[in-house]
Amino acid sequence: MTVRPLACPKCRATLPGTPAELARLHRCPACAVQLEITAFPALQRAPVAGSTGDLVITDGEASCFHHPQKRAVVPCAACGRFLCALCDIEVANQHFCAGCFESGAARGSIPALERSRTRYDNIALSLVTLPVLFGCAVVLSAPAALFVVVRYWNAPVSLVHRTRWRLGISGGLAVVQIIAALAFLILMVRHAK
Amino acid sequence: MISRDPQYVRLTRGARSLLRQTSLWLGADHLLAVHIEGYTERYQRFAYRDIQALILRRTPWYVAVAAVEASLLVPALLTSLFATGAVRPVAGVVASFLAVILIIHLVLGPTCRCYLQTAVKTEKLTGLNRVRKARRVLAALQTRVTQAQATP
Repeated sequence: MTVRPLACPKCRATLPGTPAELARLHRCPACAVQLEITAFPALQRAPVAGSTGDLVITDGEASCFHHPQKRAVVPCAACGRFLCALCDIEVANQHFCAGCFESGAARGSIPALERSRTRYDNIALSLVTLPVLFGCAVVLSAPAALFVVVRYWNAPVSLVHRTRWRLGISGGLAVVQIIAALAFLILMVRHAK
Repeated sequence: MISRDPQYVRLTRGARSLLRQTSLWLGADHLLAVHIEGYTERYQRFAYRDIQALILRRTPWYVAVAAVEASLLVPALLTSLFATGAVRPVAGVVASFLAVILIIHLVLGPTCRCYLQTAVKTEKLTGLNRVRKARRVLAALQTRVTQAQATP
């Protein structure tokens, strides 16, 4: 494996030099666009080849579940199967086999691999505010918002905005809207009588 | 390596485009880019140890946009000063609006684009469009990356 060189983001021309030389480079030699580059030691670090696992030396040693001829180095954090260095996938100081890694990534049970979250708090907030803003009836949207608040109260919130104030406000507004709608309905019925 | 229970410090506020909003957050051992698309948040993580370079590229938009705004402002200003009748107040409002936009543009400073390079890809850092802000953000990021790569 080779080290990937730094390239000009505009013309893709290779920018030559060590990190120190790149720091002094103010223009791309090819397209002359102005650049400010901060290079780090990782730029010159060659990619590390993964271990293929050691062979079992003695009969008494634990062997890999998937490769019985190889020495086990760690158990899978999810299923507990012994893994050799080749099968070991390390994520956030936890070790997984390929199957548990794949299923964990798909289910979102490995936080470091979580790639997306649905913002139920924003959905609930939209349900209680947008119909009012657009003058629509809240008869349907308020119960829907209340359902979202109750159903997803314990669902993971945003990775960076960790509070549930939007859900709380949405729930409160939904209750107020439902009470107001009921009161309006009762008044209308009494007025009709 | 990415920690399990990250706590994040906001690096940039969300930069809005037509369909999504992107913000950058400093984690314990990685930079987190949060893309909000509708009611879904998508996450991109860049471990400090894997960041090879931060690149700031100047763009010519600062002068170009200022020139366009000035070319619109001058006729509106002249009209508001010398015209008569109902056109004058309208031109005054337009000129004031354009002047405010031009002043904001000039105060924000030169424009740029920022990129982050790892061993496998070069990612544009959305939201860092002004040199002054970009330098401040990249300096904060540089400190974390340098610390992470200094330790074996």
